[in-house]
Amino acid sequence: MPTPYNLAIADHCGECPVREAHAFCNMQPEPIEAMNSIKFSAAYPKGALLFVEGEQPRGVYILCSGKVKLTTSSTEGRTLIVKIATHGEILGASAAILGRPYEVSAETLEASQVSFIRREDFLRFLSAYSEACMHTAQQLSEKYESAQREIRSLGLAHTTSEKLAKLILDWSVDGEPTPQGTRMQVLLTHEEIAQMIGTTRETVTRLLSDFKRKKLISVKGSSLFVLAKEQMREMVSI
Amino acid sequence: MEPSIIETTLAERETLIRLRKGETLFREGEPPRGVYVLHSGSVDLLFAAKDGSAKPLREAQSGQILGLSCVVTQRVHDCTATAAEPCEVAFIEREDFLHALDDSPAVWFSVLHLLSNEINAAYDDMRVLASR
Repeated sequence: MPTPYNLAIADHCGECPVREAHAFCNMQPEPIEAMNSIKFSAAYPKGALLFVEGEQPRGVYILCSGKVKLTTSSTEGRTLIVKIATHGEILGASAAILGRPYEVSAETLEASQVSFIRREDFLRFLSAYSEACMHTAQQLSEKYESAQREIRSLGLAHTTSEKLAKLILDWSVDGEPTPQGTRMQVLLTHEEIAQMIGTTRETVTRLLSDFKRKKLISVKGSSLFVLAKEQMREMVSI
Repeated sequence: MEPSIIETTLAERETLIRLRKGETLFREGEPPRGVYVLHSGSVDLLFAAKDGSAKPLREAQSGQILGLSCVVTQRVHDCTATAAEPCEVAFIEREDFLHALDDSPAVWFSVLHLLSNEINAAYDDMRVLASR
């Protein structure tokens, strides 16, 4: 039988093959068993909304596999991507802990498996296992530090091309070295790239062509190659 | 759960530091030695740009706890904290801090509260910066 969206679904947290590589879920068997008994697993297609900014917190979402974009609206109403969450992250935890509306919206960027835990169950789980508290604290701290890095590039970069160069350089850290340069898969549309650096889709399209013309990058399908890393580093002042 | 519970627990383990205006509490890139509770005064949080110049991030007011996220993730400080005016700061060493958490789930909760509030403050900053 085909699996939903061709995902390799792990139904039981204790048997999850990637649990140990997951920042949040890498816990002792006892808390994992407890977590497994309170979570609801579901598979979502690309483009599914898990929760929306301003909604009362129902609970937390653990990203078992896939990618999720977290967005908020700027004071001018522009959509801003605050983070791309990857597997093993817990989402909506700050809202659930504070009992205040979700600060961001979460939308899947690709087919994803997600485990949901109701707020009351999650809070009880935290009070029972200090290991879960520690892992939640680490997750919150990482969200905070990633927000700080965004603030840094949004606030300190002088030009949009500098912000785009910085974003591509940040991505290239996880890229694969090839004879043509560092290769990375870009799942984001130009519109979404614009939302990551606080600009418009048109500007991103224009700047990417500009980078290609200057032989800083090349694009083949969804692969982006960084050809001149040093030159791009010089463009970035932050 | 009241976030103030953390201050009562930490008070037993703290060392008081007095800073004059312009003195630095910790620097960007340093490994975290512990957490700092700002009792009085205010502290400027600064980023260093690549050319070495300092750019303001935000101001921390009395009652705020600094260094919490770095202590939890064991990463280096992502900004520099400098006294904007004379300050009184309580310092709690990392090990002592983590010990205090082991002893009490209620303190854990207030830590999670504080971290959640920090995230919200950072998102507020992002919303404003993205509109510029």
